[in-house]
Amino acid sequence: MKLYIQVLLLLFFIRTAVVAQDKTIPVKGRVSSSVDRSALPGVSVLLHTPGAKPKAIGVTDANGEFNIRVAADARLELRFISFEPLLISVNNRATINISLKPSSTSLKESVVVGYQKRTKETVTGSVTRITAKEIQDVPVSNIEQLMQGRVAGLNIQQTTGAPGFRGSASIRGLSQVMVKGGGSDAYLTPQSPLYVIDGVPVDANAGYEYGFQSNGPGTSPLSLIPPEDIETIDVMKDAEATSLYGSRGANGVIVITTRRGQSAVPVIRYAGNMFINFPPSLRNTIGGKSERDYRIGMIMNTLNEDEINRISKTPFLADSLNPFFNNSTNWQDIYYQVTYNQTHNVSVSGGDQKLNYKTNVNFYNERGVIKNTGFDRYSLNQNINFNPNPRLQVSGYLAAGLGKKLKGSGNGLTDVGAGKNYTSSLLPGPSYFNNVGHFTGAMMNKNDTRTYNIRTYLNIMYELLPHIQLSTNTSYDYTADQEDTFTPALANSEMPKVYGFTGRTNNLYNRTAINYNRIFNGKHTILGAVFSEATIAQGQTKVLNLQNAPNDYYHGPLGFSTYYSGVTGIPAAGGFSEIHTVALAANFSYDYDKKYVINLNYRMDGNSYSGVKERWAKNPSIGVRYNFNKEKILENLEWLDFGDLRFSYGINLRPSTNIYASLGWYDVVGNYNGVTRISPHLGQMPNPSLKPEKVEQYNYGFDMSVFKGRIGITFDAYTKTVYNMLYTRDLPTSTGFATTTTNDASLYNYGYEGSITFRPFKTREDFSWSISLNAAINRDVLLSLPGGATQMLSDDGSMINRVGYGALSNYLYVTQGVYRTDADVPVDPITGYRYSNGKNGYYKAGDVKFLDVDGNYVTDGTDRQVAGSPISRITGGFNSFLTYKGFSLNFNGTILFQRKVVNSALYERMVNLRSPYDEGTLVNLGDLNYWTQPGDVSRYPNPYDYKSKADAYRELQTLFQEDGSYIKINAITVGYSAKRKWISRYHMNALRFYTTVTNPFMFTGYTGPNPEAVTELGRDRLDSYPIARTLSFGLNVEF
Amino acid sequence: MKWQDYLKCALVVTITATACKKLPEKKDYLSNNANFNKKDVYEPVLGRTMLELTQFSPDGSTYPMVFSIENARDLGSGKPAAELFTPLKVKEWQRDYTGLEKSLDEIEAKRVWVNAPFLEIRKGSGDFIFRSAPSSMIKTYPDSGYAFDVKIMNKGNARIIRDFKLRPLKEVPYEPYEYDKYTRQRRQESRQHPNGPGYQVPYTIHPNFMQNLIYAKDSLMRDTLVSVYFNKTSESGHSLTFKFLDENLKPMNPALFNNTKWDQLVHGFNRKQTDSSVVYDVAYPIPLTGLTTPYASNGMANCQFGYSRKGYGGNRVDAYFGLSFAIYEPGDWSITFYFRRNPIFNDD
Repeated sequence: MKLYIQVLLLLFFIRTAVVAQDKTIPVKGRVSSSVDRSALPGVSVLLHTPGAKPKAIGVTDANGEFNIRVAADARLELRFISFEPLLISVNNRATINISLKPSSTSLKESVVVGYQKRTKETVTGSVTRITAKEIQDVPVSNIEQLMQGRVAGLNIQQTTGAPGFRGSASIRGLSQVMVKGGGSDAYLTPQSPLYVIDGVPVDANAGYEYGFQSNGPGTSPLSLIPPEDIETIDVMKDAEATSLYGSRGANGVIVITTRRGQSAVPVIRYAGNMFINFPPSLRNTIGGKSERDYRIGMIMNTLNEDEINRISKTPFLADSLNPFFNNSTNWQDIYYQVTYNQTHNVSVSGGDQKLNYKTNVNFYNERGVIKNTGFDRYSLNQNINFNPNPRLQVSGYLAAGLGKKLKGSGNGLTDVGAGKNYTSSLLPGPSYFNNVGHFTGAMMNKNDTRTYNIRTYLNIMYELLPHIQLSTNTSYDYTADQEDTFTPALANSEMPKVYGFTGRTNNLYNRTAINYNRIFNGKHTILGAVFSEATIAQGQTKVLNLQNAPNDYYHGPLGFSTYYSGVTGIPAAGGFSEIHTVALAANFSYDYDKKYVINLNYRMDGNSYSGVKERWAKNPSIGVRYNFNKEKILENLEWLDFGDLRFSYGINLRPSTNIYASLGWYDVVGNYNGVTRISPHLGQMPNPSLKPEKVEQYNYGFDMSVFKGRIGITFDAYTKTVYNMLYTRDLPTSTGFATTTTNDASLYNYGYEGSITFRPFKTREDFSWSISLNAAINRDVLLSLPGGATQMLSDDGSMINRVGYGALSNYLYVTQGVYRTDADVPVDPITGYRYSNGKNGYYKAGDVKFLDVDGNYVTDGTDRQVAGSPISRITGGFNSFLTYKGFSLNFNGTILFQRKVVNSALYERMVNLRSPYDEGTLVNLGDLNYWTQPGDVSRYPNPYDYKSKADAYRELQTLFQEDGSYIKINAITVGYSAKRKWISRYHMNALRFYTTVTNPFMFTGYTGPNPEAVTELGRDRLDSYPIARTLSFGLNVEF
Repeated sequence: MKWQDYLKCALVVTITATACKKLPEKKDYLSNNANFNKKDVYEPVLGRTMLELTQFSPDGSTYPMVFSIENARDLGSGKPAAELFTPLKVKEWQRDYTGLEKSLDEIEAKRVWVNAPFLEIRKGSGDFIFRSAPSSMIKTYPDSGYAFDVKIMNKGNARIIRDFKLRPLKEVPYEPYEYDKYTRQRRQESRQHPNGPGYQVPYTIHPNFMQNLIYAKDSLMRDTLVSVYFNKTSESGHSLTFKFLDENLKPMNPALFNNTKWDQLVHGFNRKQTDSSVVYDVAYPIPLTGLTTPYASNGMANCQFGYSRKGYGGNRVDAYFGLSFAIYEPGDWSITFYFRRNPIFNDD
């Protein structure tokens, strides 16, 4: 065999020698994809000359064609992203048609780690890439939705279906355990990963770091990035990969790279979608006569004269013959709607290695399924790369976006009108002034909410000496948020209200680096870099809130009425901030023949907002990698494509994100002797010794690809420990302060992440199918709490943090069923009393059976128990891509297991049900298995007995805690790419039609409408914005 | 293997070992400030079964907890006090007493005899249970009594709270009681001469309320003009007799109290009414539990007698008097109302 090849080679060389040297011939060719035969524009054509680096000599044009002059014996290499490079010999041919195979292994891809492009072979951290192809078919307002279920360990939950809002995102379990607020409004300290968009760090959380009560538009900057413009998304999970991103990267980093021009001939791409949003299944309710019968039946059942007399004092119940009250209003139908939406994206790109450009224009228009809500995006992105000579590279970028939002009556994230305050179907009442306020508020609010964002950068790279590069990257990001809301008199206690919000944040960022990059003896590669980073971020928000405006037709300019009128100015805390940070970082990377790789990183961050005594955060990390497929014994194995082991260790320090916690603030507190007094704010005591939170991570990774990419496996095991975690402590009143923030808690996460890509059939030209699955198991353990405590309760006592256990748990009364008969109720042998809910609330048949933990025959606070964790243990996803000739069928889904959800919505509606005189919406009892007569075995207690003191329908009990596991199909897409022969007649390069259904199915045992649309703490709010089901029709054209 | 391989192996082992972390023990929280609101002195009255809610304040400690009594000792001699834990034959509730029972048997069916000690601590909550025990067995005031410690445990923690004091009081057979619970001397009550100084007389029991009873045309009867006497005639019976005596100590016919709801007077059965008394079969103690029923409230049975007459000027006058009482020992008891002035029953 060897001999045979040698002979062939010899022949080859002889021939080249014969066929005249230096003689060039014109070579024409066409490059297409082996999968769908579509032309590949922008494929680099490189000329191989023995003993020298391959030299780029051309690229394919929009039709995938190239036209070059080379020696007749030349060897050419064709390279294109996500395709396997191909080496061919010209062999004196004038026309060469080539098809490129999509790369089946992911190893040769380059990823961006620590602001540097690296081939995946030399990356020691845990990095997962999502490519444009995976996210192209679904129209969404926020790209985060597209990442759901794609990356093991990245847990994205669409906690709200409100257009333009963000759900929750976290990498590798919990980073924070402090729960603020109570009830359904309780929220976890934000722990979103850092987004880096084209090299510029962006805070995805902008707008609502204050829980559910946020001001202003609350539009995430991520919502302003058109998904069509994204080339790749790299998700970095471990400390080594994120360490160079500094303190903000402690929760993980997601790097988004937008498309660039790469074709000599301008390529014009159009992607358009028409999509229809359908309201999903909502909560069942009852209306009309059955509602009235139900309410009256319940009251009559009490056999209580006072109660029965109350009917005649409640007009909407008593006045059934009055046609105005004889309604059966389907409020859901009035609030919810089917909407028709569209998105259009046009991009023009072109250029060559010297100068390339891209312009992307995007329009996105979505109306929410709740009326008067929606999101529009207008964006224009441009980038230009200019390499005047091999040593200098200049690239610039400008992105401008406008996000317009309609928020209805809620803050958009939750919609108060449509969810919480659904009204009895017997309303509205007989006159204009008997209107239903929350309905009027939701429908007649005039809302103009917009977010402007301009992001720009300039990146200059200069190779000063061979192997030494200087680079500088400066970016400026300006976001302006504005909101104008007018609430008519009818919806606000006869007082027209004007609300105005303006806010701005701007961020000036610079990174300057020196890179050293050299290969010695062809085997030792050294890469070193030192860079500095500086950021100035400023923000200011103002609120104008005027009550009692003159009338509904006059929206301004407004004066000031002294009667019931109030104006609020800048919010006390959080209205103004200015942050300066500087950082210095260095990294060193060495690899021996791409077999052994070691990376060392170090970064120091100084922040103006950290404690004055702890200014600097230092982030060291180390990573090693061993590509074992390069071992001699494995090198020649046919079935092994690659395999490696990775290890990384690193520390990320996360400074206090709350400037007030370390520095405190001053308040204006009235006058003394005619002089305005300014004194320290006494609520929160500043803690100048506040240390940065320290996140220490170990990561063990393993990757392998076998059988020519038929099976690819990635496995990571990690531990993540958060030390010095911020925790707010209450102070004794004698200090004069209420709380202070200290570094007293610590948390440990450990887990495993695996993903497997599997191609069941050999990829052929017209057929390919790949399936990938990923899953992550994460367990968190709380290591310590302030003051050596072993447990702490949240503000309202419904959540508990316990040392040694999972960090966050529900703390609830344990429900053990329903008493079938009176005789089932235990009796205190000493007192002869039945088990009771405190004074006189003796349980009887049909009441709920609470576990009596302390055995005193009274249900009291001590009977609450740790009940279940709202933090999911297992998350994952699955994808399938199938193409056959021009047709494609793709689907992907999300998996979430072992998470408890508290069905607060059911609880709240049961409260309505049990208040027959109030105007709330009722549960359809037909859906519940409830107790009606002695002997019934049921899940829910007797709902009719609303006068009972047993409090059987209390919220904080395990009756309402359900398993929130689900398997969801995110989207199914069927597509067809038209044949080239046919479309080339119309001068098109590519034409693809597709249709996508999003959120078609969800498999879950949860009884509420959607176990995903719940808060991060697993509370299914009644006013949560439902997640729509979408049907979209898309068209991609390329000229 | 070559030395490089050994190095590789060693490296892998070290690297793997470094991430191992000693996780904190899974244990509950038991606050050092968890304590009982009352430690001394518990003074249960013997002869009745009662639950003393100790109001243990857990200070955030984790439930379930296990409470146990340790080191119970005689405070005087310091010797272990075994008698506190000697099993006694006592009645315990099996089903709940509702006040709606229709017969004595129905009530008794809800109670069972059990053997249990005088002193017990409720395992989960730390409440003390004192069962009916005789003073022949348990040392009582004025003896210095007993002391004991309470051990609290939850998962991974244990604490002992020391020196609870227990000094039981001798039996009080009924309430109100004429004698002081501690000294067993006759209590005194205050009276006042009309327009004169106050003076003390030995205490007798009077009706709790009295309304519209007159003993002369214009003289309202005061409660001090009626004395009530509790008398036990036999230890083994289970009856309660109401008697009324006039100022001459002659029995009055209960039928004179014509407005009395005799069937709801006490939770008793088989009423036998004669010219001189009304007898019921009852279950002891009275009241049976602290439950509010038509017969009892706040741990005391309420009985109310009344009659109706035409008053001065033709007004209808409804006269009432009543007594809240409790009887703790079973037997044949009688309650005698002695009217020191004869009430007027005739119409004006």
